[in-house]
Amino acid sequence: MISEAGLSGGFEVPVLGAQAAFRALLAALSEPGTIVPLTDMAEPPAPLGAAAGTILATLADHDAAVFLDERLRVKDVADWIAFHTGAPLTADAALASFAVLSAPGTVPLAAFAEGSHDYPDRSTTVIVQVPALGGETAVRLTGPGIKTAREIALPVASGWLAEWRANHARFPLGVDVVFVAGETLLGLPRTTRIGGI
Amino acid sequence: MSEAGFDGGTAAIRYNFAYLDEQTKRSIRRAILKAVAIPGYQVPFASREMPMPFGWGTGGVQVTASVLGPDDVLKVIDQGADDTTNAVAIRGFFARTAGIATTTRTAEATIIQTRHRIPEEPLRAGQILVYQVPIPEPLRFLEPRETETRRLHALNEYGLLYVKLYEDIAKHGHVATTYAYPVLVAGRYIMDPSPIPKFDNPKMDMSPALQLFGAGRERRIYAVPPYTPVRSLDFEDHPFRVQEFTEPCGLCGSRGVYLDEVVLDDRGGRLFMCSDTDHCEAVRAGKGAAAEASW
Amino acid sequence: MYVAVKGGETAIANAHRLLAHERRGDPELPALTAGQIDAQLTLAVDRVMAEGSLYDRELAAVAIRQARGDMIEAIFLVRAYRTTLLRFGATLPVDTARMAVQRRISATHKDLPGGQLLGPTFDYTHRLLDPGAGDAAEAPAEADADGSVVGRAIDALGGEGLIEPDSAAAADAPGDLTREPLSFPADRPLRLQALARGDEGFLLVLAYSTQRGYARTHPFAGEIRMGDVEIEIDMPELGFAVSIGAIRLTECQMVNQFRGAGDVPAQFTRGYGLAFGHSERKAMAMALVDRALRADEFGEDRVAPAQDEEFVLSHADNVQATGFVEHLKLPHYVDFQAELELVRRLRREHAARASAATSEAAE
Repeated sequence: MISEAGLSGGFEVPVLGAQAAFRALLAALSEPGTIVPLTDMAEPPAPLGAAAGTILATLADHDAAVFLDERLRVKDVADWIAFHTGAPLTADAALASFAVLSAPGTVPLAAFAEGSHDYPDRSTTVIVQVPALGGETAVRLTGPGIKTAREIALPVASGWLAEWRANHARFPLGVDVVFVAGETLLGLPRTTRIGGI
Repeated sequence: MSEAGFDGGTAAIRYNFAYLDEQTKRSIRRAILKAVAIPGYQVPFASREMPMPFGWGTGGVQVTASVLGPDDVLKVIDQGADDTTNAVAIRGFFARTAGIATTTRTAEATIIQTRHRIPEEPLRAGQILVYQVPIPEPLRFLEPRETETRRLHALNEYGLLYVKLYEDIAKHGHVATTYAYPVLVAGRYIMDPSPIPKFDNPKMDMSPALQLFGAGRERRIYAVPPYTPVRSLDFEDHPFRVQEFTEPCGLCGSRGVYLDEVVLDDRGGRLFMCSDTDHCEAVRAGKGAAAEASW
Repeated sequence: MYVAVKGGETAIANAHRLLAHERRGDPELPALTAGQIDAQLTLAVDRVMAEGSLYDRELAAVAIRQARGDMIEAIFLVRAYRTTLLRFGATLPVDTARMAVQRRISATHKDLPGGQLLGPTFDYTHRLLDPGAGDAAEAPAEADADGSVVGRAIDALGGEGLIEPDSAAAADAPGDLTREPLSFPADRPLRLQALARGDEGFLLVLAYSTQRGYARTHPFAGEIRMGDVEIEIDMPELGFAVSIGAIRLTECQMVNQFRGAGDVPAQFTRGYGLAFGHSERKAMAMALVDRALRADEFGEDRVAPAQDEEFVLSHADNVQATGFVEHLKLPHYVDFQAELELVRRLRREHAARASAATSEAAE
């Protein structure tokens, strides 16, 4: 039986909500490190955040399996994803098209699908929930989508930066990361190099 | 066999916003995001039959339909012109199926779908340029098999292409590729920029706009994110060079733009004029205004 | 001032008006109805359904009328509509052994249970033009149109182990080339999908080439059958499958050259063709090409076009092919200008070299 929380909380107007959210994601991954606002939010049940739910409602479906970390793997969330996206849930990080992590590092980036040399696109997009975009670690981003360099603060510990560097070094393989907080998101495609300041 | 008769169904045909169904849009959107994350790599996607023929911009149309929202302003050009038949047809398609605003002004557009040209006016951040692509594989004419070319991309093995360019130089003294001139994107993937004249290649390099490429029949989407290095292949002793026109545009007087050659008569009379009609009109309007102001 | 010829919306609208006018033809003659097309140009409707990948006689007839009888245009219209349709589910595999046959012939046996049933065929007609054909016709003999269910001829060979068994259904649902981009190598279900919607003319010619020695497979027409099969869909709410109607199909099973050596007993191999409607030429050609494409399975050298999976599957679709061939009529003058500029430059350089050589020789 699908719970009440699983049934409610989709986009108000699905066609337009998904379009707007896609454009926000496209902007976020095209201009890594910029904070992009979402306008039309889905309302998933906690502990899945609104922005993460909005991304899943926009992109996940029966062809795109979703992985949730342990804290997010609760019935209301599973029901909501099943009802609003039809996407299968997978417990195997390496089979996921999309993964949602309740915090940076709950599952190492290396656990997810990195694609193959023939098909580097067959990789996981990892959505990481954080309390706010900004915070702990000042970094300097370079790479495609960034004119010269972009200096921002990332809400991650330095250990995660090592994980990211390993991910970047695998290019063209690797995962792409979207940090989400409240009604905002920030993208890090695998092409982005993170340096210290 | 047809007892049901012919009264039902067909009258009530309805289409979604921007024609494509949401499931198709989702799969195309996923492909676009992957394309942005792996610049120059051709992402396979489940291209659909569109209500226009394959080869006539179905890839570009599917990309545009998946990106487009109600607040967008769309410009469509073919050969640089807004008023060529195919551009008119595609612009009309989106005006009808998505009810969005259209424009011929490059600066006013948020999304520009193009076949064979990049507008003369530099694009700005936030704009999206969608290219219609017939053959996305830059190695296709050297190796027709997808199974082979995929391997060459995977191995970063592009020697074949350099050999071909070098053979041109040996034979003609020049690289004999004048359009769809291959480029290296962000230092990794070699990409076909679609059949734009090589004149336009430098505009792709570090462009503030997002560039998306859609090949419908060949089922590939690829991208160049904003501010991404795009280098036309060349050799130290034979650097890449673009076409140069000796005359200015016969209508607006612009130099340093791409010109169409229009045959005027059968005695060799011809007129060179801007291929980018919006640019040509803007320059002429500006001159008119300047002339008026000086009165 | 000279203004380049412009297409423009008016030109397009006028062209479409003219098209509508030409489509209607002589207004003194009654307009053709889609119902007439369905009833009297049955095989045209069948082909549009088969290559349009949509079993709907009404839409196919409408498309043929709209396309002025241009079959590829009609197929294209159906495909472009089909792709917008919602999918409610998938039917169970059809069981052609339970087909109510209108026609069934086997070239491998003189007679067989159920008999040879010619059905509505052009075979053995003398191809003499007959202006009266299509006017009033006698009612068919009752026994010839009863659509009785008869087993498949080829199954008798299977019983003796003389022919390879039908390949077992894969554990996973078959791929769907209309939903996922085709990648190579493609498995047999995907290949058969591509062939089923592939261009009849293309498959016909490839099939012909195998008979002429470009990947000869020694085919016998084990059985060709045409008739109606029930289509069923699983109803999870009910816990069983229900029939949602019947569709007409043509199936061809080719019996091909045997394999087996050493420890493996000799056994015939199969090629399979299936198409919507009465599409016999298509089903037979498909079966020959299917068999040729199985070269790797049987350790045959891939040397001929019909065995080349990437070549066949990449070029079988006539909607794709016609689009790309016909796109050459779109303006290409920007690229042509680029080529003109280069050829002029090469000619100038050539002339300069030639005149330099002449003056050198003169000195």
